[in-house]
Amino acid sequence: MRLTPLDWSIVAAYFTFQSGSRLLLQGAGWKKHRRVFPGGTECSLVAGWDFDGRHDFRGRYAASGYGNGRPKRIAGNWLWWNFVASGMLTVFFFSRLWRRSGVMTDVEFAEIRYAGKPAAFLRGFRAIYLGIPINCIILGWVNLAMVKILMLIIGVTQTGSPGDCPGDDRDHFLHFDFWPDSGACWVTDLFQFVVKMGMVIALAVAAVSAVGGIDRMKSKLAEIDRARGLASGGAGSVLSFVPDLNSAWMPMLTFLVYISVVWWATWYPGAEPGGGGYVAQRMFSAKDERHSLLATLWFNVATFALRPLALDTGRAGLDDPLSRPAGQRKRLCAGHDRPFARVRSEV
Amino acid sequence: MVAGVRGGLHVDHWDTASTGAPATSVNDFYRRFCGRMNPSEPTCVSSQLSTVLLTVISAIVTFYMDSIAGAWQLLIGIGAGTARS
Repeated sequence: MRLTPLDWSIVAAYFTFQSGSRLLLQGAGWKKHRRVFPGGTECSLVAGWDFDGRHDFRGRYAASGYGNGRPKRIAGNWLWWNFVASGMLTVFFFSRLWRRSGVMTDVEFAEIRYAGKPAAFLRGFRAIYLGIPINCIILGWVNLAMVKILMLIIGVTQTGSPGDCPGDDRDHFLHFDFWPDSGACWVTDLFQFVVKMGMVIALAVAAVSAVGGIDRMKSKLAEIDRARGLASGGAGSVLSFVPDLNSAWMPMLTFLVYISVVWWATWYPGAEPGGGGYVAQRMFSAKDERHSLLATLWFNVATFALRPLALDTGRAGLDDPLSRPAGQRKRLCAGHDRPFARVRSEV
Repeated sequence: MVAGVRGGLHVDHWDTASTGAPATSVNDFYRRFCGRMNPSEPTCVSSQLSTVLLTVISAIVTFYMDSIAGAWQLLIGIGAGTARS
């Protein structure tokens, strides 16, 4: 993709806004270490926007088939949708309690809940284990996602991206760590949330329009369903909310394990029953217990409902022709599915 | 659009992890076990150093990582059965 001066001016405006807002809003929090992580416990519902702005969904979408070019239907989202159960438990049972605990990190809570040397060891172990190896895996896929995006946009390689993209990681240092006033983070994170959701919704609208509307898109997806059924003997639709009974990619037994076991037994950042570190971080930031509950509720609604709605709609419209069976690719070459490729190219 | 991609899809998650990791390693390890329990003592420098370290390690991890989905599944796998109880 060739970037025009207009593109670069938008990039420059973005960094100007980020840097400018941080400088203006940094305030007195610089030397108050308590503000670095929980943000000074002065935040109102805007923290709820920040919940969403700060939380991951690339990994979840990638795992459900959207990040690797192999869409696995709407029901593929159950790979991470199962976490909604723990999320709602966090909202209505734990969010007030986290705020009341007065701890700075969720790891610190281990030494309150338990006692003695085992509790101290548990706290230290979790601090290192979650802080370094686990976070590095998470940051690794975050970086990789950005590299893949930049490979498409400006043609960098995985090894060449740091040099070719000056300011990318330096931007993070500057904005989030060397200016560690979380109060200033709220504004820029809210901005990022609006930009992100705006782009996703714009993508969905453009994709559906290019296909010819929702009805046209559904009829095209039905064609794909029929073609796949003839080719593999499978049943059901890509639009099915739950997987087919005899689905090969998510058998019913696997689906039942997801919705009945995984959500309470598996550690995932921000999705533990009771709230993992990332979500707990924002509950500590809330002004009071009521704001803690409402902000957590908003995070869950936005993450598990709004995002899939917009992203899945856009993804269905942009369904990658190359991922389809060979017979369908022939029809694509005949031309009647060209709007898919056109919109993908434009976006 | 480029700004949207950068701002929306990358920075948000990066800052979560890059503030969360130093917070736990400094608050729950360095301050707890290295004689820095005085809450009035600033720990900005140690937080910044741990952020630099985390960034370097994560860059190395990124270099050897091929699949986002694979990394996600790895995290789910090693996290199985370790949720707080």
